[in-house]
Amino acid sequence: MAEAAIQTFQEDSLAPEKPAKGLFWTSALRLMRHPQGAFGLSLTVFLVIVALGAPYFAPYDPLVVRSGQELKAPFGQYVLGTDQYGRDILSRIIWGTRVSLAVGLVAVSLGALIGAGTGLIGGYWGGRIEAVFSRVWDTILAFPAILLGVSVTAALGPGVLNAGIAVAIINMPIFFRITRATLLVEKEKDYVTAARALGSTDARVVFRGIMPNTVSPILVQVTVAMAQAVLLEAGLSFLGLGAQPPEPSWGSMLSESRQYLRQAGWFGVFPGVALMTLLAGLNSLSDALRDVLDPTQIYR
Amino acid sequence: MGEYLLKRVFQLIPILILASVVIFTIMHLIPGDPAQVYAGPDATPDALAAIRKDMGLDQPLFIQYFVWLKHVVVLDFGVSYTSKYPVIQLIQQKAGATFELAVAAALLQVTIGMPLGIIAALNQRRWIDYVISAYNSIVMAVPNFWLGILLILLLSVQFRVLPPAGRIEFLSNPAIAWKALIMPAFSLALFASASVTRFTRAAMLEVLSEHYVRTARSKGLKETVVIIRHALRNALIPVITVVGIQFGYLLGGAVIIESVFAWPGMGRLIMQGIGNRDYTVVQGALILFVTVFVLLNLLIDVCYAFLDPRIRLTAKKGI
Repeated sequence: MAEAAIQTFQEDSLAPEKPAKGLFWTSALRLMRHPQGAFGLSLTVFLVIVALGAPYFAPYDPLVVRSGQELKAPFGQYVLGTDQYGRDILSRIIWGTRVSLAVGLVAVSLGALIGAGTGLIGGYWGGRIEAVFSRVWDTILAFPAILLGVSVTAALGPGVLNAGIAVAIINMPIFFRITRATLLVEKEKDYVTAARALGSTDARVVFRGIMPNTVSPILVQVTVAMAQAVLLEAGLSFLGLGAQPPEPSWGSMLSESRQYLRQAGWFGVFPGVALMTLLAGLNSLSDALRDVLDPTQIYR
Repeated sequence: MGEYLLKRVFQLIPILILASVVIFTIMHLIPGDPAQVYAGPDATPDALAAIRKDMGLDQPLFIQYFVWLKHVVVLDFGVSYTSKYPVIQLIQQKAGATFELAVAAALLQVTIGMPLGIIAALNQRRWIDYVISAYNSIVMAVPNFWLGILLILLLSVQFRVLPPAGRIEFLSNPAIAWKALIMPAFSLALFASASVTRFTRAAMLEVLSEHYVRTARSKGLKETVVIIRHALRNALIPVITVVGIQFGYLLGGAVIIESVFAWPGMGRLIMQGIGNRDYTVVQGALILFVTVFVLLNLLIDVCYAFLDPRIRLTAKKGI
């Protein structure tokens, strides 16, 4: 009888209280009802669809050079005009969505995995491990983000994947700090003490018990970091260190446009509008997620 | 206070040493042979070997690192491989331009951001607050380099009122220099001003709900006096911190803006250094950037501790 009670308590002690519909659906629903959340989500989802369906949506091949069609004005045969090689700007923007989102995805998942991972380990075990991680991440934070991005891509070689890795490195310390801070609070709570007293292993306490409670702040940071990653990738491509020609990327398109501002002003406008749309979507999404995932508001 | 300062300075040392290791490692990962860059493409293998020996490149990497660090500590960053000038001299020539740009941007960010934050706070939950909040969201979605391009399009190409690129030293001829400075500074400042607006709004709202503001009002003071002398002065502390932190980001952000406006600063020096494989220049500029960035953060913390005794007392107790 007593053993059975302990068994039940042991299982319950680590299971967070679940609302009827499940945390994911409750949050998703709240996000869609949040005006800013709905706005951010629709913009982001729209651009994800554009990226995935690029081959279907792009009216022309983004890489085909057409002589005689250079710097054509928009709203004619080419909806957003053409660039200095006669390539269709709309098609290049559509394909460029893939580059931006791909770099964001690589940067954020790698950054979150390593940053949050070291945060969990360092925060739970403390001591020297934590001190080493803290020093390393503090050092990364001592670099202005764009300079670190420039240095890392210069060392690894310019390119989309390396830009992603560079931005991931920039993201790691922030994920580390957020996870560690949440963990330090959670570690002192009764459910952890209870689980430990009942003989749960460290790994079980961290991964089954504490980790689910660190998800909310990490999720908010994922969207913040995604916007930052998109911005940094565009910046690195603008400086010639991200996507390499002829690969279409918003940052490199803007960089190329600078030489033709007098003849073709639109060339410097449209890729920026695309970039702004994605950033606005991600920024709104992160603001809304912060509201929605606030634990004091969740089950109201 | 002295004890707190000493503790904070000691905390910086391991960070700066680690940062120097990171910079040195990154620079040595960049493909290409520095000796080849130094000697030029026509150098014979013997000449290359002699240069490598001369520059210490034949030594093991960790010895090269310590030799480099020994020189860096006394601000000797070596000689540029391409221009053959001492790196410190190149940095001295360029640092002023970047500093000028960042200072102008910092001033602009406060001029734009603070009044908006104050207006938003004084009109909390009214339409003007929402308009400012929407404006802020838009500003935060506009990358500074794109804003730079748009400004060039509008003010240089369309209206021809401002030069699209270049720099005239501000102190030598301010009447003309501001024309070249205003667009890059604004491009850099606008994004950062959004944070200043947010922080000013939050700080003002907090202060406005304090008892001493209510007391000031109940004494019959004029609303402007209450806001400026009682509320704003106290709300300034967190805002100054944000401006200080942002200054570091403005220095970093200058790297891209300098490229947009052909502004001859540190960012261009670093980008050209990377392009030319001129490692000594890039290493020197990076370590200087990081040191300034870290010292700036220290300065802000110290100012904050000076203004708010709770921080230095907590640090003293080791809590």
